[in-house]
Amino acid sequence: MIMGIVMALAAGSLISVQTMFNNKVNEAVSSQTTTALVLGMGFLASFCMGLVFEGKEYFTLGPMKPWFWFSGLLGIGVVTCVVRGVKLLGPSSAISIVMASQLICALWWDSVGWFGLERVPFTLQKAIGAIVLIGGLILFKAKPKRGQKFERVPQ
Amino acid sequence: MKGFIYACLGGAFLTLQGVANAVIGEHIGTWQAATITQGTGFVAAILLVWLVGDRSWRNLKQVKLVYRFGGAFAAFILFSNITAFHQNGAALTVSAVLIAQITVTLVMEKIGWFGSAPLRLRPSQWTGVGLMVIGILCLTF
Repeated sequence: MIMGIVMALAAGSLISVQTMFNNKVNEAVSSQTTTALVLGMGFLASFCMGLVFEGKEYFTLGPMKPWFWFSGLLGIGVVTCVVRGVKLLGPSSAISIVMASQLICALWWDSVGWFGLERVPFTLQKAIGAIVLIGGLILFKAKPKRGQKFERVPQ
Repeated sequence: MKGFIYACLGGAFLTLQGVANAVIGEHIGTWQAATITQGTGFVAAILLVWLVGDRSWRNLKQVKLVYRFGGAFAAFILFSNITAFHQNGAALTVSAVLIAQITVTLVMEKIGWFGSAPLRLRPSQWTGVGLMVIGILCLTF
């Protein structure tokens, strides 16, 4: 239980650090090149981890469907959009919007049962959750009144 | 506005990717799925770089070495995610991941790591973050 929570928290923290690193790479090179580098590194690391955890068995693939080969295009969409969002909005704002959109898409697709997923009904609690989440996001993003524009402290 | 649209699309792609990874993982195994989705993505991205005649990779030398390895975190993220999923199920794992993500991003931006000027938050913005966390908990449980 505790170990699982620690792992989940570690995963979330690593995602943030990764986003920052990717943003740093994107400051020097174009977003296409950043995407290629990020996915290439991810590929190498997953390959190594797979070998470590499964050994020989790693190479015995189950039945492949043709569309599996195109799943990587989603990764391009993810990295390109997130990197550009962070560049334009700054990390905290961009990440909170990404997360809200992520959860709301999941909620929407679950309730219609797309992609062969089991249909999860839309409940009042979920509606409240979505409204609170978006409300929080708006509050976080809202500009202060009377033109106080000093959100960032100059160094 | 453009940044907002990119961020929204990024979220939609992330969810799609999560679904695709889960489906592919069931068929061929988790690590194999991770390798194939990222490997094919890498090939397509390289193709794209080549097609648009993008030469900015020459500037990669200016990027600090550690930053170049950011992508490799994906494997560790995946591993901790899977382990957590098996121990606690989806709801707790998803909310813990998202809450850690927003908190750590905020803290890093607040102390001004990674070069950007430190962020100063107004009380209303802290309330906003609190509401987001409550919203996440409401949505996942």
